[in-house]
Amino acid sequence: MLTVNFASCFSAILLAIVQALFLLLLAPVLSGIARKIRAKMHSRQGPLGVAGILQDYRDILKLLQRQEVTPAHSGLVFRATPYVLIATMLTVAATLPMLVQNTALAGASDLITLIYLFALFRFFFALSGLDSGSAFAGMGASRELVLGVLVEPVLILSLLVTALIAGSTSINAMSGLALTDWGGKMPIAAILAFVACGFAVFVEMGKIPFDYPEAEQELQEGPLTEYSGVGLALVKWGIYLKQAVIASLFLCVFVPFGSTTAGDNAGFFYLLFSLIVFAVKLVIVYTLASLYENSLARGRFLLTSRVTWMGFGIAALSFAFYFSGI
Amino acid sequence: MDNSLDMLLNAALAYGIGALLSLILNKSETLSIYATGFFGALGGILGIAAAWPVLTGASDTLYKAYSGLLPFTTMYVRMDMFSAFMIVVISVLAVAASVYSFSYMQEYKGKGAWGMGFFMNVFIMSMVALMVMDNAFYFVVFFELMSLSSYFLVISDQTEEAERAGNLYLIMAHSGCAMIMIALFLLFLHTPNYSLNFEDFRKAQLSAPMASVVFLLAFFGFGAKAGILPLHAWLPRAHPAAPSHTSAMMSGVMVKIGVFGIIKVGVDLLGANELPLWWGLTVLGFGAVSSVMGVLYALAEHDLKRLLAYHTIENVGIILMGVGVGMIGLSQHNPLLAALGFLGAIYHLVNHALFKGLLFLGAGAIIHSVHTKDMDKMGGLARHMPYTAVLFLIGCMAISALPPLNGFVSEWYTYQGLFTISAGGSGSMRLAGPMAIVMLAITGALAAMCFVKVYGVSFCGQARSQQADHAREVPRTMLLGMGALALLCILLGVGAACFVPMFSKVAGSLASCTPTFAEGSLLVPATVQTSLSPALIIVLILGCAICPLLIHNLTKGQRLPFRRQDAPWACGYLYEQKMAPSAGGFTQSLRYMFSGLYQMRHSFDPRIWMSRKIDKPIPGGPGDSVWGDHVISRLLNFVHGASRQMQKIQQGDLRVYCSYIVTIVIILLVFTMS
Repeated sequence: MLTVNFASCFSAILLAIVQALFLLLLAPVLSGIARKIRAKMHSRQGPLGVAGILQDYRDILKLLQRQEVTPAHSGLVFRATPYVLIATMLTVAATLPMLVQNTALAGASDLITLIYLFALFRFFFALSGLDSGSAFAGMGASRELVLGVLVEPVLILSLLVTALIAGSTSINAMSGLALTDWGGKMPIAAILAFVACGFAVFVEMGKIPFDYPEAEQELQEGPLTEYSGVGLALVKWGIYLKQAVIASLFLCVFVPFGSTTAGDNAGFFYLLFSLIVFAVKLVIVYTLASLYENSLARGRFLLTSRVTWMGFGIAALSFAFYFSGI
Repeated sequence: MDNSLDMLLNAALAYGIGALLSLILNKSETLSIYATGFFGALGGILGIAAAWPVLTGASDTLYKAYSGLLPFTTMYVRMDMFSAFMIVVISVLAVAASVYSFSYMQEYKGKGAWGMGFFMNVFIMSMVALMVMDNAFYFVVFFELMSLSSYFLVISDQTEEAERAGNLYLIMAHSGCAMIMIALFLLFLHTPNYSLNFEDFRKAQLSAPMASVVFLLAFFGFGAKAGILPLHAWLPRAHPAAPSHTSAMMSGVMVKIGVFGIIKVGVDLLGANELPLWWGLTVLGFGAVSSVMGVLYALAEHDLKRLLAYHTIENVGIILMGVGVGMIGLSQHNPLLAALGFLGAIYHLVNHALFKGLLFLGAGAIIHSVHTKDMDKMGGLARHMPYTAVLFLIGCMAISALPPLNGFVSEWYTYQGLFTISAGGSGSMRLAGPMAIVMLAITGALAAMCFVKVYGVSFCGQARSQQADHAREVPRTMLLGMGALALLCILLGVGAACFVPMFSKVAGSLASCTPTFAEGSLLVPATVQTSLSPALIIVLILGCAICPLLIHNLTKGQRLPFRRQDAPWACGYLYEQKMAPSAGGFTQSLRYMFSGLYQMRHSFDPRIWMSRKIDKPIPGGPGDSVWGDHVISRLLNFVHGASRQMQKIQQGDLRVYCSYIVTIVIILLVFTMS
């Protein structure tokens, strides 16, 4: 760390900025794709034409020009939350080993750190709901946090098994193992961890039956209720970004193919290639998640814990396989 | 270098003078409050000055004997790195609480403020003195003095509830103390020359079962003080009953005396004996259960101070997880792992003292302004008390272990310690590690939920009562006390790389090695290849915040300015304050999902089974058919109960059957592996 020369330090920072902005710009498009697929599966037309996938961009741009009006009693937390949300997720996006296999910002790219950065996001998102004083926002905040309590064990146990196989909780090491020797000595445990983590990521992406993104007043996105104008645009963008970031985390740990092992000194065209490959992988994840989501029915929120137990069961099974060395 | 110990004596004297002045000045309570506060803060500063050279390693372990009148009353005093560390933690919090008390105690004028001042200073002094006692006799004396003085602080409100809490506390504290005394007595019997000095205890050779008996007695004795489950029942009643700055001291440092005692007996006094693996696993298990259950119970509370007290149980659990990892490391003769575990434990110990102190002082500030502990009567305080709100929010974020604040850094080390035991070693370690990690993760998520509730319900939205609407910002000395702690919370988080080398020395002294847990600005667990840089995280978050701010400003154009107006949306109906989420409603779905765990609360409450045993009618009497009542009816009851239990297994739910299959597969896999 101390011997890093100026040039490679500069390129690392540049790479981090590129990654973060790339995800920020891609996130609304990915959400637009999910929206379009949902419309098609409902036999609706959805946002018009192929350019319809840009609909979320249009929404955000429109909202950015609108005045922000908040309830009279909302406070500083409500005001600050949009910025905290985007900043936290950009931080994660900047540190993931997305394009090169070894991110230089390893000090912020540890499994535990990332999971707690997601907690920071959730903390402020829920707090903004309470700060608005609205009943719906409060309900949404409560649900968001309960879902966090239910999903976090699944996420951490499945990633823990992967980390144990890789011998370290550093994302670099986990990603490196998947790239060179997927699953290491315990492929079955790794496959089950992959499934369990996929389940957790699916939940975190705000999908049915855990959330219903187009009925935001009712459910998990309740904290959005009182946002308007530019604040709403930023919070929405923050949520899109979070979904893209959690999908990226999943891809970095389990499907890192396409990223270069050459480090920051890889050529420009190689990085461009990695960028395109990563975008394609994200599109595939979103498509699969949307297809699966729309085959499901909505359920009662109070019964969610019964569904998440299944996810935890898979993660526990994966640990059992790891424990017995299979 | 006797300087340090003399300085410590001066600190104790300062506390003593403050206590006596408070007694003498009982006629003029304002003066007695000032005397207590001033001498309390002075004692704290002297305490820090005394312990600092030992803590930084500038001075070796200090040892001194003060001879008394009788041979056994010779007082042996010993300050090693760990006790110096504890003294600094106690003293820092004592300074903050004393500064805070200047204004806060004005509330208690006419309610015996002089007496509270006396007991407060005696309480702090006994804790500081306890840390350096190296003689079983004095150790027990100061331990008792600590329990007694805090008992009087608990009952200071003089209400029936406070008195009941005090009585429960007294019973628990003394049963704990009795166990500690038995443990120390057993050690005394094994000293070569029947001496009460800890120096001789350290040489005592015990047989393996006897050592385990001593350890378990000490573990549960000190555990009662630390509030581990199931010995926790007194804690959420006693801590909230005391004045808030005393609650801060009790929750912030007194429970740590319990942790100190467990380490003292398990690692230090029994150091000459082989440390079996299961001791560490026991500590780890009790810690993990305490942390999850503590936070679950906290979630169901709407009394602010009681909620914070339940969080103390949670955090003691997290600290004990670290201690457990440390002891496992010692049993495996892996000093690096042991040091890592102890580092997580002591780092979280100081962190918890800071943020729990801050939160209790903040709760005191709220009570000072709103005159209630019920969160559902607060609301909207952020507007009336902006500084308190910001400081309280920092405390909430720190205790929820959000990066880059201090709570996160210590939990990160604990995670890494647990990860290390999961990655290698015997089967039981590899099984216990991941279970503890999952429980720590659940604890983290629940704690975040709980503090969103605390901050959201009390500081956000609209005022929920008249008093809350007329709340005023608290005086400067109170803000100063809280501000200092909040600043330390940030420093120990963002600037962790500066503090970790010092803490690693303390942890290393417990594990007898000199580990490196910080390389430059990076924190490393040394046993695993990974790193953490809180400074980098804060830089990244602040840097990334530029992006949304730019978006906000670049699109300003023709947009009308931000404004706050009208009530929240309520489906077109008129908004009422009652519609805002309440503390109970916020956690309702969670209480539904975890209802089974909440029921356990009653089965763990000693008061319930104690009264049940007492109220039970005495069986027997004339004409009582022994066979009919005792054998046959019991048999019938047993069959009845057993079939009811069977019913639970065979309930016809497909998902339950699936989970049986998964469970059996897991068990079989574990068996085939071993």
